[in-house]
Amino acid sequence: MACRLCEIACLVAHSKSKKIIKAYKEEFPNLTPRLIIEQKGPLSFAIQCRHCNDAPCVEACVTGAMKLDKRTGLVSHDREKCVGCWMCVMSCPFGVILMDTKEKKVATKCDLCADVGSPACVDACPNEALVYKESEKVKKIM
Amino acid sequence: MKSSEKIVIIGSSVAAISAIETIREKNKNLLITVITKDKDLFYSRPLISHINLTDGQRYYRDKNFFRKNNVNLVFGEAIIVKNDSVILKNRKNIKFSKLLLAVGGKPIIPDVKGINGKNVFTLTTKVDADNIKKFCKNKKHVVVIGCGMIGIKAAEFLKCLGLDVSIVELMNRPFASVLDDKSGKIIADEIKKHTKLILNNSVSEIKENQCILKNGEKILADIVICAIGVVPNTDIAEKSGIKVNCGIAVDSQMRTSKKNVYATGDCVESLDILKCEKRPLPIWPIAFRQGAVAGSNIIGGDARYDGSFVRNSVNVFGLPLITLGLSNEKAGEEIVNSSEKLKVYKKVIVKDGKIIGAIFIGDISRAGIFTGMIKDGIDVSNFKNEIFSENFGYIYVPKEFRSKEVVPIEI
Repeated sequence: MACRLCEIACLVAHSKSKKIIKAYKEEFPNLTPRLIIEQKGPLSFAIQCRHCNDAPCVEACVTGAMKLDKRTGLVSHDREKCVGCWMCVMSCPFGVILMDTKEKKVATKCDLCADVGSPACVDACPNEALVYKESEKVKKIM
Repeated sequence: MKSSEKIVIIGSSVAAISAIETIREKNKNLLITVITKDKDLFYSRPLISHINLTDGQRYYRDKNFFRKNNVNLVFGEAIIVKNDSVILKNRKNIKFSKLLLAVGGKPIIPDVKGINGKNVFTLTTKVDADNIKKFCKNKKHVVVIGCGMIGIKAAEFLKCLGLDVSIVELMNRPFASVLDDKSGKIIADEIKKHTKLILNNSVSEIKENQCILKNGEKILADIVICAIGVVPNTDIAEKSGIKVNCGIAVDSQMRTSKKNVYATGDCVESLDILKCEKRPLPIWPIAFRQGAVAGSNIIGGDARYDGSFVRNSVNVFGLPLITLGLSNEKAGEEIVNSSEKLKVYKKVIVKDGKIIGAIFIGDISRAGIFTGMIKDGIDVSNFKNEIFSENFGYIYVPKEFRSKEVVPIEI
């Protein structure tokens, strides 16, 4: 229903303070949400990194900043390694790798809220449209 | 594969690394030997022209990658494959059960008077970049021949090193193989803010301190970078009687014409799914995927590589540029969105309902959605006029192609 609560939760979860008022008042212009809300007619959804098993962004990354952890299934991105060549932006078929151009120009994407523990967008969704679950493939490996 | 078997890989860049990672995921014990000319391992080739990188950025994998993956290393130049051995320049003989050629590309050297001079360099390895850095101390003027991917990176590199750069390009625009006239002009204008750009011209003679151009003009040049392009390195394959067309010929399992010999990456020819013909597709992501396919098949798997298309992303003095597929072919309907003021130019070419090429300058956000649509051959006829609308996104990908996890049920 495109309430955009996930977007707010994402921003706050990736702020320094992790507090909604502080994040919006002090950090907001420098925050990039890691998900995108799309709407067309009656259909709407929030879309963020799918953490693909054969991730095209990992294949395309020339620095090794984009990595797939085969054990957990997490596709992670290392800001310090990234040089902002945008090969990942070119490669992601979901279009969910964003460009953080506010300070150092680097790619940015969903990190499953590594800092917080569980994805804030999922916790914030009032309609349970966003679900966080382990994929069958990862379960098998673990 | 039996544990006594021995895998030998020639080359140590991305195709080789990807193959090693794939093999080691399934088998920790098979003997793997890498033969390489590169003394400095695991640096990322596309980044050799960047100065001021941290070691963390410069190296694609960490320095202990081979040790951690239990890989033997042989420094040397492989010359020929005879029966089941690779023979090196120093006459050393290395036996293999399965061999992978990941020898990459080699720079095209034009037949120009003076091209073998001490002041002429190519720029495809870290050694090249280091040699250029050393040579250009106290030098002032550089001429870069060719304004493609390597040419632009060379120009940025030498400008950062403090030299006065002139780029000479044979065609009427930069990146002529992938840009149309209009986008070529935008990029040319951007380049001209930073360096001299001479179009529709070529170098006919190189002297110690100057280049003479085709039209007789002379330009100062203490150093010349030859950046016309690269071709597949087929030297070893040709000497060894392995079939070569536009590159080393391989099947969809990355097998060459010689038994137990595989090849991947910039040295092979691959199926271009848009042109429906085999040709070199020398780009990083393709080398990575092919390396994984070869790695898997070398240890008895049945992975396939079904072809791809050329695509690239480059920052031209900070202006982002992405091209996908046949971006410079007048082969279909062109949907364009551009703003000179914002330095934005976006174009998608649609043929028989499908996207066959795209150009993005300035605004490259979500360009990957188009990469996905080209790969899946999605019919865009119904929404082609909305492609550059503000609401355009993954939501336009037809239901049957969308990931089920993104939109499980449509209401």
